[in-house]
Amino acid sequence: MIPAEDWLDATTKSLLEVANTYFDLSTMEAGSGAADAPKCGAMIGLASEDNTVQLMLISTRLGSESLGRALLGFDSDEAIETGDLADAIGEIVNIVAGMVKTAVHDQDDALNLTLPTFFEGTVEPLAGQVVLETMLKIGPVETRVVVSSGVRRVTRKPRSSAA
Amino acid sequence: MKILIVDDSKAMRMIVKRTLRQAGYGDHEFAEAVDGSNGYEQVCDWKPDLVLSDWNMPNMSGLEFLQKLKADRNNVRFGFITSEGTAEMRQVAQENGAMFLISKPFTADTVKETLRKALP
Repeated sequence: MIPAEDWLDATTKSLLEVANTYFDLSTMEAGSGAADAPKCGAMIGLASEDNTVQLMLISTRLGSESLGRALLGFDSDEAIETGDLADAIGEIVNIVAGMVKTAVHDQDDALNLTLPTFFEGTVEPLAGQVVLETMLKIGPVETRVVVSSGVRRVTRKPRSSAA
Repeated sequence: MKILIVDDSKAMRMIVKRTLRQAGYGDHEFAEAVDGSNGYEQVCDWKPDLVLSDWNMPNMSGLEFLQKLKADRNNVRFGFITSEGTAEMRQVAQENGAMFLISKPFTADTVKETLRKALP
């Protein structure tokens, strides 16, 4: 099984490369919002027989809007609708996941990607998974990069049929 | 030249178009499709000269889209622009008749160089 540290390292490096390629970091606004502001971001899964991992990019709504505008090439004062925001943040994690898949290919060549999911609110990892996270500043925007990894094996007891 | 951009992400379709302009293809005609199925319809109706398609898409993937075109003996020039770029995927793309595979994130220089080699 690929260690959680490797997933986090590959995810962080890929995210920075995406930001440096597509974002005009000089025109981005922080947009962090209050520390207790609701969280907003996107997650994507990579799975094979040997590995299951969820990659998450989390910021505040305002921080995510700043990232979305940067990807779409919008001006810093331009409004971004929720649909466009979901699409943009989802695409960021989709690109990152593709890069991560390529980066760990030598350790697992059977990984498949899920489609990305945008969320607002709190996302809790599944019980039994290894969760690692790091804070990452993309331009002026503070984000959390979270990986939750581990194969979750559930064995159900056979049910007895009713007589 | 008519270029069809196929990606389920509106953001990525915008980025591909922006990058094509930066790469010197701004005076060409563009159309967009949201998945392989929609792309297939557009190829039949709009008859593009080049298709730039994502790989992972709902409804019909980029690979299924390409295979459907080949089954129809449609030889429109086809390239992938996708977030995954493993050697196996490049091989599968080539074996199915794709001219190239550009992995994300890509720059205008990458796109320009790839299209320069692929197009007459």
